[in-house]
Amino acid sequence: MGLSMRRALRRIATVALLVPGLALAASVLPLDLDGIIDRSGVAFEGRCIDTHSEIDPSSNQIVTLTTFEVKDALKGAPSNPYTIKQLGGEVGGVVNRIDGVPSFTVGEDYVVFLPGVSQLGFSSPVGLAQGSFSVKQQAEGRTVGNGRDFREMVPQAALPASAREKAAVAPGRLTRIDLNEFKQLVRQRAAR
Amino acid sequence: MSRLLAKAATLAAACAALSAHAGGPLNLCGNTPVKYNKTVVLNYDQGNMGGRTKAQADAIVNTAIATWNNVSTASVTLQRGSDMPVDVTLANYNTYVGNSFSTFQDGLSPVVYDSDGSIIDAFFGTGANTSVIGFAGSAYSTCSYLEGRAVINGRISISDATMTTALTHEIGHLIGLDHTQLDSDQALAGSNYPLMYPIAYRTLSTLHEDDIAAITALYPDTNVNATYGQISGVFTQVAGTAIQGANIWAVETTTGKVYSVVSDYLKQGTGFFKLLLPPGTYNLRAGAIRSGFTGGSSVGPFSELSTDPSFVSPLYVGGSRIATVTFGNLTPTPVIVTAGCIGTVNWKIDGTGTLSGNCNGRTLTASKAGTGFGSVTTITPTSLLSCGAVCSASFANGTLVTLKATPDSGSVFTGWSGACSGTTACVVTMNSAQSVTATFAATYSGTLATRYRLYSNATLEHLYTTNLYEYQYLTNQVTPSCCGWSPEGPIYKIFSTDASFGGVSAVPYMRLYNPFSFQHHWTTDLNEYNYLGAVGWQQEGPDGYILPGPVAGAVPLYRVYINVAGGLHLWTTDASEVAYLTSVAGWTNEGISGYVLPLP
Repeated sequence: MGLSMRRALRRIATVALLVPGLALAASVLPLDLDGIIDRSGVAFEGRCIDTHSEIDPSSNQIVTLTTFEVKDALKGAPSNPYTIKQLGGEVGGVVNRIDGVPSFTVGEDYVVFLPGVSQLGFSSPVGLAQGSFSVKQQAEGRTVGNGRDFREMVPQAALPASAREKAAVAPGRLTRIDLNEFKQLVRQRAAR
Repeated sequence: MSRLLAKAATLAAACAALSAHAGGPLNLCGNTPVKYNKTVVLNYDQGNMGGRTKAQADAIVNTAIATWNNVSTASVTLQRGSDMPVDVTLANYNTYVGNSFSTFQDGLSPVVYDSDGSIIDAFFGTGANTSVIGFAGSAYSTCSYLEGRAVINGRISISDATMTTALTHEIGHLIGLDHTQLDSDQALAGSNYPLMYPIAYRTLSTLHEDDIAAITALYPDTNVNATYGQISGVFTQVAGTAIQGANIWAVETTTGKVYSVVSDYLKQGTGFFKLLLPPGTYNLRAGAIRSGFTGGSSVGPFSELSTDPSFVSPLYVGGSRIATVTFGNLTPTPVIVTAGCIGTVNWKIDGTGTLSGNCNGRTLTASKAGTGFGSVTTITPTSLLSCGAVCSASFANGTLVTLKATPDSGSVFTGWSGACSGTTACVVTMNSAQSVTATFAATYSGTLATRYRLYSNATLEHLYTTNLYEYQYLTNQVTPSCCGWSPEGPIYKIFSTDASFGGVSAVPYMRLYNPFSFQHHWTTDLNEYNYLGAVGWQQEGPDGYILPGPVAGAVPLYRVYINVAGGLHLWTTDASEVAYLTSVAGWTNEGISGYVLPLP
């Protein structure tokens, strides 16, 4: 552990005695899928293999580092494993909660779209939660979704065939679509 | 995850003793909600907010804090303090905002105008300032918030209305509110989702009733018992095990108004919930939080991760949300709330349970019938009942209630039926549930038709029609995924034939269509109709008949305009919508197009 890290931890430990926490919340614009893809420098399907919080010496902020095992690169050339640094987390009893910043569960799969790394080293998914699609195994196969209605994010004509069929027989929200068809959509757009 | 997805495409808007609605309080200290115990004084930044001047930026923040200050049943107060001593930038961010203890105790709650978006980019990634509007929140210690902070992205291109909505939502978090999940599951239109919904579908400028109850629950004013009754209890599995993280809501059976809370929101491990409810008759329901609402979009304290209690058995079975559970199942047990009452509902996931306490008043239901219009109100007790087509209110057992029927101009009152008869004042003793009907007969000529409003995200147009099939077709109610218009419901009545009302003759309301901009237009001005026809609009003839001047019983139909997307018009009878659009969203009030009849 370097000197600066030890100093930072001492500072935070002092804060912990006095300030249990900071809670912030972020607001973002709704993005369509093309907007998410176009704003990303790197996109991949990966499994979360580690997530932990620490004091970031470059910004003196509590940050959360999340590492993914990259299974399938969809845009750009992500290293494997790939680690992102996001604002917020908990260190030594000090909670710095930044609502809006996505969290990831170790062992679960995601398709994530990431912007360029900032001068302070931060890189949260594009549009925050919108750029983080969870991958689930369902009865019909592996599906993805970010909580939003795909009919708001993808033009009707561009929806994958199975999604159009699903939408036709089940009016209402279309929150998950087939993983492989989704990745095909992403690749097509990223190749333009 | 995101605390708010602002709906930019919409130009029309663009503790132990306390309960907190929505998902509950944003933070707990043990089992106690964290809140401010003092006036929240915000310090506005120096400098501009991107293309907005400081004065314009200040006005947006003022509007957002006024929205919360104006809740009469809540004691929280936000106010503007002195401005920040400097223009806060990335270079001096840690000095004035940061997360060091000194910034929590410096007496400043900064509202930072990140004029070039560099602060946003630095902390969320390069390019984030094209999608992240801003962030806000508060630091806390010893169970109280100390100071707040907000950073607003000035580089992002959004309307003042959208910015105001986003900022109001964020300030809701700053003063301690979590998200709520009341949406289409509760039959709400998107425009009327609560402001504290994780995604900003709400376009109405006023707070939703759930937002008002939420802020009241967290910061109850001394008058709270004069406005609300209180229902609390526990929600458990059949064997009695507490259920954590269920969405619990109460729906008023006449008005459809809804209020929610998450079970065990104080993390006591009991399944405890508490709701503040205005007088009325309610059904109590429970369901699961949507699985997309995790992390920053979470609703309640049990939905941070997809493995949390809100997303597992018994609320999710086989990966799917359980069906809605109703207290009382097929014959719901009514919870009759009167101001100041306290009731307890201990119930289970199979819908069984018990109701105790004194929220057991008697319900009086009043209806209006006939071809005419009028009002039904209570004389004693005063102002407890003011009816639409049907209304109801609950009264303590044995209360003597006197009702009055007043016809509008163009109508006559022909008498009571049900619990009363005749044409004089109706007196009812509330020793059981009672129903009365007031019949009004019209004295107008012609045929009335209900007008519906719908909205297209594609063309940004609001369309108005009396053709119910057209309304249902365009809003995908005939053919799913057909057309993508959003239904906004019935809005008022116009005449479908030549008519007169209160001695005033109606005039044709002409409709035109522009095949280039895909916009429709309406006017009673034949000169305008002919001029637009001459410059390329398609004249579609009379779309009904409206009154050219004021008549008692009729309401003004306002026309507003904004020079966006080639020019957009909007017609509304909602004066508050006009005020909001013209004062906040940049629309121009073009005056009154005519007069129409309100919905009963």
